[in-house]
Amino acid sequence: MNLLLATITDWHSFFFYLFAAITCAFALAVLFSNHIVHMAFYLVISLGASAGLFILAGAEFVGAMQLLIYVGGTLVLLIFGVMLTAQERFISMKTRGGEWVMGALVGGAVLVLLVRTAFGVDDWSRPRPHPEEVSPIASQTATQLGLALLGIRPDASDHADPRLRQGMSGYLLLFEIASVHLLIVLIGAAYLARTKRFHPAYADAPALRHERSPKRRGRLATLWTMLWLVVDISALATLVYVMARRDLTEDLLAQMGAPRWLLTVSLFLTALHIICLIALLNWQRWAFSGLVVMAAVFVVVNSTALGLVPGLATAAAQALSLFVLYGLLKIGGAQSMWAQLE
Amino acid sequence: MGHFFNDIFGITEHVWLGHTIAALIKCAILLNIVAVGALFFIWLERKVSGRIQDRLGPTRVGGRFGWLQTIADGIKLLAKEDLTPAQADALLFRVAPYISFAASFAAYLALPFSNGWVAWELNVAVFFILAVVGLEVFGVILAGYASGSKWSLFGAMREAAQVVSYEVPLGLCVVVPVLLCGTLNLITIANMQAGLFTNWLVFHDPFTFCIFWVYFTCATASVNRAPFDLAEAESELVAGFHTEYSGLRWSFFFMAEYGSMFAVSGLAAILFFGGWNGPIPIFHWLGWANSETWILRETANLFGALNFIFKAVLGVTLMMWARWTLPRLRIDQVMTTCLKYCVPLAAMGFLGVIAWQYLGLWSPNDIYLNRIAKPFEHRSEVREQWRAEQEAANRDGASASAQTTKSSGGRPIFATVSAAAEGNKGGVQ
Repeated sequence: MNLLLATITDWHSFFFYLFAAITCAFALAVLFSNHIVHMAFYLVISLGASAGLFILAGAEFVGAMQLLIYVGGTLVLLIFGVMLTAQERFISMKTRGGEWVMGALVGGAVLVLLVRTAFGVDDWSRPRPHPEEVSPIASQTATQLGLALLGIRPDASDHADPRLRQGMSGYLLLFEIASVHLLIVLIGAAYLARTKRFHPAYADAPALRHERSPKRRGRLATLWTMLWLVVDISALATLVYVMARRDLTEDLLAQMGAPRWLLTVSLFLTALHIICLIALLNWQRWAFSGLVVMAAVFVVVNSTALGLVPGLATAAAQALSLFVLYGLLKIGGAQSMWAQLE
Repeated sequence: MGHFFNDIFGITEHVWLGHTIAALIKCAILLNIVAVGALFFIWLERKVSGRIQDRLGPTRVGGRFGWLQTIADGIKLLAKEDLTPAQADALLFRVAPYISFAASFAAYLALPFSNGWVAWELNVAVFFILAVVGLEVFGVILAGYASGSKWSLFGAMREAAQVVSYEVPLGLCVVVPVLLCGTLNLITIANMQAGLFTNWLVFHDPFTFCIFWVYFTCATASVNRAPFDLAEAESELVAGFHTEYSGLRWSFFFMAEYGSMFAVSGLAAILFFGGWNGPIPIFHWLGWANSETWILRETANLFGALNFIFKAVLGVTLMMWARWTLPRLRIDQVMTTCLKYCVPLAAMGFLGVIAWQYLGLWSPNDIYLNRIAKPFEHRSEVREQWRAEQEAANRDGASASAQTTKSSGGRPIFATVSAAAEGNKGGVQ
C-alpha cells in the first residue's frame, strides 16, 4: 500500500487513473454483458467517469455537459428506447459472429483514427513535468466558449487573417447547423410519437403484408452486391487509415495532386454508398436510384478533384457496375429480385 | 485548505496528506448536512402535516415536540430485514438507492452556503447542480425496473416522463438570474444581490417574480414532491418505485429526496433571494462582510450561512405546505402543467426580462438607491468582472459598500462585445 502511494504522490494522478480505469472497465462491461438494461447502466457509469476525467482536466463546463447530455441522454435512451419498446427477446441480446466482425471493424477504425490524432498532439511527446512545478489551473469560465459559439473569438484576436480576426473564426454556423438538426430530430420524434388515427382504408393492410410469400434472392445479384459492399468497406477502412496518418495524407494528396477536401468527401460518399447497398439488400427500390445518383456524384467529384481522365474512368467503372447489377436484378422475369423490391 | 493542513502539521514530504484531510473534512460536513437535514425535515414534515390536518404529530419521543422521532424511526429501519424479491434484478435493485443518494449528495459539492463557504468553488456551479440533480431520477428508474413489480415499473415510468419534461422549464427559469448576473458562478450571483432586500433578483422586475414561482413549481416536480409525486402515488401504486424496498435501502431514497429538496430550495435562495445576504445588510454597514480581519469576515459569513439555511428551510417548508394542501395531479395534468403552462410562462418571462434589461426600466433597488433618473447606464453593465473588481477595490483600501461598487464597477455589455469583436484581447475574460 505504501509503495502504491509513493508512486502516486498526488491525488490528481490517483483520480486520473481511477476514473480512467472505471471508464474502461465499464465500457468493457457494456461489451460483454447480454442484458440490455445492465448495459445501459454500465454505459452511464462509464460516461459519468469520463465526465470526471473532463473535470479533472479543468474543463468543468464540458464535464457538466457530459453529465447533462450523455449521462442524461443515455437515461432517456434506457427509458424510451428499451423499456417501453423492447420485447422479451431484445432484453437479452445474443451477439452474432457477423456483428462482432462489423463492430471490430468500425471500432478498430475509430481507434486508429483517435490514437493517431491523440499522439499527434505535440504536448504529449514532451517529458512530463514534476507535479510540484505544475501551477494549478484557475477554474475557467464558460464565457469564451459561449462567445465563440456566437461567432466572437477574443482568443483569436491576434490571427493573421483580418476576416478571422474580426470574429469569423467563431462557430456560429456550426452552432446553427446543430440547432436546425436538433429541431428536425424533434419534429421527427413528435411525428413518430403522435397518436395514430384509425383509418378504414388501412385497416387490413398489416394482414396483407403478413400473407405475402417470403422473398427469394437471386444468387448472382446478391453476390454482386456483396462484392460491391466488400470493396466499399475496404475503401472506407483505407480512407480512415489514410486520414489518421497525417504524413501519409500529405504524401498521397501531393502525388495525386488532389485538393484536401477530397478525402473527407470520399469518406462521406462511401458511407452513403454502403447505406444504399445495405438498403438494396433489404428490398428497398429507392436504393437503386440512390446508387445511380451516387455514381453521378462520384463522377462529378472525381473529375473536379483529379481531372477529366480519372473522371471518365470513374464514369465508365460506375456505369459498368450499375449496368451489371441492373441486369442481374432483372434475371428471372416475374420472379426477379427487381420485381420483388418495394 | 490542503495547504493549510500541510502548514499546521508541518507536512513537507507527502503533500497529498493535507489535501486528504481537507477533502475528508469537507465530505464529513456535507454528509452530515444531508443526513441530519433529512432527519430534521422528516420530523418537520410530520409536524407540518399534523398542524395542517388539525392533529399534533409526534409528541412523545425526546420530550415535548417529539423531536427525536426520526431517530427512533431510523433505529427501527436499521433493525428491519433487507429484502430482495425473487423476481428482482439483484444487482440493480441493490445499487439503485445509492445512485439516488449519490446524485442528490453531489449537488452539495457545488452549493455554496456562504461567501466562499463551498466545498468546490466551481465557475459553472448552476449548470453542474442542474445536471446532477437531474441524475437522481436514474436511481428511481433503476429501482422501478429492477424490483420486478408492476407497481414499481409504473412509478418509474411516470417519474421518467415527468422529470424529462420538467427539466426544460427548469432550465429556462434558471437561465434568467444567470442572464441578469452574467455568470454561472453561484457565489458571484449571490454577492451581486448584496444590499437591501430590494436588490434580490426576485424583486428585480415583475417577470423575475413570476419566473421564481415557475421555478419553484418545476423544482417541486423535478424532486418528485406532491402534488407531482406520481411515482409513488400510494392510492394507486402501493408505494410506486419503492414498493419492494425495506429497511435502510428504503430510507436512502428518502434521504435523497429530502437532500434534493434542500438543494433546489437552496438554489432558489441563491438565484432569487440573495443567498446569504439578509434583508438588511447589517454586516455590510458594519464593514464586517469585506473586512480584512479574518474573525470579523468569518463571523459575517457564519450569519450569512444561517441566513441561507433559513431561506432554504423556508423553501422546503413551502413544499411541505403544498404537499399537504393540494391533491395529487393525474399524469395528463402533470404534462399539461409542464408543457402548456410552465414552458410558455418561463419562455415569456425570459423574453420579458431581456426586454426589461434592454429598455432599462426601473427596479425597486433603483428607487432605494435613488437612481431612477439614469437607470439605463446601470442596467447595461455586464457584471462578470464584478467580483474581481470588488476584490481589487478592497485591496486598494477603498472600503466601498457593495452598492457603490456595483454602480461604478463593471463595464457596459455592448462595449465589451464590440471590443471583443474588434480584437481587444483583454476585453472578455
